[in-house]
Amino acid sequence: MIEKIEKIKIDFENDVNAVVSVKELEDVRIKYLSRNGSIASLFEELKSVPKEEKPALGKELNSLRNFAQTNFDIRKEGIEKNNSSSKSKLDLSLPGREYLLGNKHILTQTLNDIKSIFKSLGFSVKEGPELESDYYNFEALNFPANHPARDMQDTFFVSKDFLLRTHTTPVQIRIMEKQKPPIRAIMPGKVFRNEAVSARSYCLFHQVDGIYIDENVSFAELNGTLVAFAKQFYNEDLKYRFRASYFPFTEPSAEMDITCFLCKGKGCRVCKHSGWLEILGCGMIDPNVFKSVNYDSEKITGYAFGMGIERIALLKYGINDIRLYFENDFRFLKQF
Amino acid sequence: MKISLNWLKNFIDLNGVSVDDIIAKLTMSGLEVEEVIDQTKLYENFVVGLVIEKSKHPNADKLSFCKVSTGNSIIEVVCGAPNVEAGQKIVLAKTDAVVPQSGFKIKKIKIRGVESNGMICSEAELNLSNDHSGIMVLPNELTEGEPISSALNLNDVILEIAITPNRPDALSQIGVARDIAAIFGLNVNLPEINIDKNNISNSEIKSLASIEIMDTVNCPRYSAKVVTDVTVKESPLWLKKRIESVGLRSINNIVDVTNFILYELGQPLHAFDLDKLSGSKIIVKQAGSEKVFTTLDSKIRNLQDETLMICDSEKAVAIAGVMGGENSEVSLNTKNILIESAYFNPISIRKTSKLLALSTDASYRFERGTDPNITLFAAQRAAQLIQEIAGGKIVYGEIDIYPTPIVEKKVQLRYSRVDKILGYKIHQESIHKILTALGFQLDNYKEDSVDVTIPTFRPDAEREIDLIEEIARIDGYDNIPTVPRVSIAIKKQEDETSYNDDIREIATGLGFFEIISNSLQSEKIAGITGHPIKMLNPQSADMAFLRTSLIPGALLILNKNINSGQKDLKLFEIGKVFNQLNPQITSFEDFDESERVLFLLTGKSSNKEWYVQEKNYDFYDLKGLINSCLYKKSLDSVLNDSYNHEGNNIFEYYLTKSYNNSVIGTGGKLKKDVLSVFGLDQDVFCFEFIVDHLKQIPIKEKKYSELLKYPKVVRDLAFVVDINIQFVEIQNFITKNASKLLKNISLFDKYEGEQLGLDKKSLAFSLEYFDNERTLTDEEVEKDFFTIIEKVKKEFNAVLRG
Repeated sequence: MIEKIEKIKIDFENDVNAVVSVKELEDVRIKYLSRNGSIASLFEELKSVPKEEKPALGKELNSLRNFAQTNFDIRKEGIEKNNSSSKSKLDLSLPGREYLLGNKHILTQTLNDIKSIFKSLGFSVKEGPELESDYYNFEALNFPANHPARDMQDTFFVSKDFLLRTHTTPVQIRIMEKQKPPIRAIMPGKVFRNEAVSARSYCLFHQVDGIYIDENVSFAELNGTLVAFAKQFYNEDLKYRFRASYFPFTEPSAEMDITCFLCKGKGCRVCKHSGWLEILGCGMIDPNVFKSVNYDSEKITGYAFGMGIERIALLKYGINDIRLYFENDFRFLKQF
Repeated sequence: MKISLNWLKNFIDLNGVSVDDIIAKLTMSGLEVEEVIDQTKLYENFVVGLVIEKSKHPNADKLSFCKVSTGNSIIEVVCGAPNVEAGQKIVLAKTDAVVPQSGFKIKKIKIRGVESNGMICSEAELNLSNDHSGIMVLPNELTEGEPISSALNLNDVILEIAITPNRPDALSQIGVARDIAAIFGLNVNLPEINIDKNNISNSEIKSLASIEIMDTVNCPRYSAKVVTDVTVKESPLWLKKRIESVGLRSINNIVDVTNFILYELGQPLHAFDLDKLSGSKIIVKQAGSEKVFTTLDSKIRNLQDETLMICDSEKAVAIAGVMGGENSEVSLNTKNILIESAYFNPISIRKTSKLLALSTDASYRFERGTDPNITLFAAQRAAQLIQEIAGGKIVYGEIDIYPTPIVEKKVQLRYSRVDKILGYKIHQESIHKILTALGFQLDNYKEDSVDVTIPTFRPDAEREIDLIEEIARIDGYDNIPTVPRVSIAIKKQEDETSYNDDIREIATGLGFFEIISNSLQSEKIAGITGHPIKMLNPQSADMAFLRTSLIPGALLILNKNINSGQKDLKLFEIGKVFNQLNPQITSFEDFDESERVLFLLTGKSSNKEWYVQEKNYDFYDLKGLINSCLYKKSLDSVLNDSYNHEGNNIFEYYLTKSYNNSVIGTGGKLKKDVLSVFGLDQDVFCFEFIVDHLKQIPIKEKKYSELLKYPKVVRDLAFVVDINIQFVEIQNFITKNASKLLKNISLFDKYEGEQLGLDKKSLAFSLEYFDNERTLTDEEVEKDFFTIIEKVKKEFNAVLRG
């Protein structure tokens, strides 16, 4: 008898815990707690056990009945609450009403990152025209007519003396014409190159030029500023190098490389197996440039730098085709 | 520019300097090494083999089966070359060899059922020449099994260096050697000249040839040597290898020597067949009446009057500094040659080269500036080499016309200036060492300065700043200290891009995606919205004109997106557009460059969801979004709207926003025939602002206004009016006729339906009354409200509804 009581207790516990619906609840009630249920039939059996065992078994049976009734009631309350409340009427799992936020173009985002760093370093932001004169784009920047340096920048001409600017550097001249030193500014904008369109080159791209002109500006300060920029833009422990180069409007000139972040300097396809990635060009502003805006280059010195935004974003986001920027496929726009 | 380290070793002792160091330091100093070809690595697993047996391939007519001995083993290979024979010494590519020409890696494979364990190579496959007619047959004395890198002396290291336009001197082996010498503290020794030592008379050469310069501005110097009785033939192996190592093709011993000197010294030379020069005379003059000339590549070139030509007494024989003529070219029958070694004006050569669209090794160097004072040395070296390899006799003396010698410039270098520009100190001794090693001469040493004589092979260096650059780059930019702190400006920073950034912020907040489209378009596309400016030198007709509006470019982008299934788009762009104002562009007044912002909607504003029906964008979405944008810029209440139902060449109907009669922007529904140009058949709504006009509108400074303390009273009413009456007419009428207590009018319903009649509509307004100073009484509101109702009924023949 005692074994039966134990067994029914275990069975009941299992069954009542498995109940999830009203119908199942009723099944459990009929099976255990009804007039013909298993507990009632045990009470029937009790009548036929020997007298001396009755009190102890009776106590056990009563305790089983109380246990079953209590647990049944708790379960019943749970099931009813579940059914009457939100669950059936309010489906919280329905999709929410979403509002699609727009996105700035990845080139704008990259430019903004660059701008905010230089603004924090005290640089103003200036703009200039895209359709420029030969004078501002070349002549004033120490690219004499018929000089091979002009071959460095394939140019779209709209007339003999007007062209689509090939760099944002002409804005330097426009600022210097209007302003006296000290000048500290960056100049972002669209520039054009007369090159065939391919995965690696496009007929236009975006550049940021920067200048700092004052008394006693040195190459070392240029170095310091650009390292500060690169560390903020890329990462604090980045490795870099300055390499001698040539631009007509700076002397001495340099290019800044950083360790290729794809191969960590071991050499890969992206860095042409050199371990380094070129990120910008820079140098001390050439005295001939100062001459064209009537600055005294004995007194005034300055540095200039320039970088291409497409290339920086290309490297940062692993974009493998420059044309993607200008195709504006919505699937591309949404990614950033 | 290709540099051969084996070649350099003729002038500079590179013992103890590692190749990696050379590459790294040259790159840092401004001669960027872009590619390195190490032949020892390139020819790894290529060995000398002896064909000991050749038989026919059992399954292929054109293939043969060979057993090749490499000394200690026999390797079986299938070979397709017609000239392979038993007994030949050949180049065998063993398994794992990588064929230089193709990058193909040799593996054990079955060719038509026969196993092949290597490949017998042609010269082309080894990148040794273009000859792929058959396999390369080696001299018999070579030892089987020896790597070809040692057997054929293929142990050079070739550096591909990017030379910037300021360094014409580095377009030669000597020039690069000079930089290496300066970097590593070595000496450069020029090749020795052993001719003309005992004879100073020029009478012999003058009896054979004469030279006259008629344009000394464009040809300041012309030097020549004559060699007689030469034998024109194939070049010796060493010469072939030298010029092939820098990427040239061997032609014959005479031409090869001129190319050799060009690459060694940077001085372009030209060899004329002296017997083909009429009157044995050279005249340097402008083309004048000569209009065409056939260059030695058999192409006919059109000349300009001022094109500088080399002529004999009857005809032109070369385009000066660019290319020789077919009529005076050295051929196998040539006996006597005249070597031209001249200095031409860089600008003249560049103009000619640009006009002819012909860039040669010679013109490339002349237009960048060669050394006017090396011409004679180069001619002598060429004559000496020609005699060594082609025999004949060097005619004593030289002809050297140099009426106004170009002298070396002298510049004072102040040490304090070096410090000031660089921001760090380089010791005087280092400065002296660097400049001297680069070929600069120093004198007049003072405490704070030194005088520097600049050699004529460095036309780029002419000022003190140029010397400072030389010092810094050779000292090494690695030595530039990074200043520990950067000062920041106290002045107010301006940001001219902030206005556009605000617009971007607002637009993206409203759900627009930014696009950046190509400013260059076809004439057809750019012409839709204005007078486009044409490129003189476009890449293609599709990109020959500047955009006149942002609309067409955005439609091109819509087309692409819609074709790839993305039909619901909410886009914006900020960018410049251009319009031609006058037929000729000679000043900034002849065109207009204007910044625009475009907002564009197409497709569905909402997809069908469980809570909403599908809905397409319409005009009111556009108008509302534009107004939200203007509201954020506090411009919503200062602009006037006007509506046009008839449309124009672009819009089916449109809205114009203006400020003080100047148009700020226009937008509406695009016309079907405009859309069809772009292959679009779904509705497009767009609005374009003129940013410069927007920016000019004065924005009132924001001031706090007291929060309303008294209740608002709202009264609703609806009128049935004629369908042609516009909402704005009634709105304006109410505003004008109501008391000051009426603060806002809004439209909360619009209804058209049969029970009203087809020519009627119902407009339901909500009127909001309040006063900042007090609580309004019901009576005063009612009074105003009913007065308005009566006036509207009368004015618009309206019926009050319900």
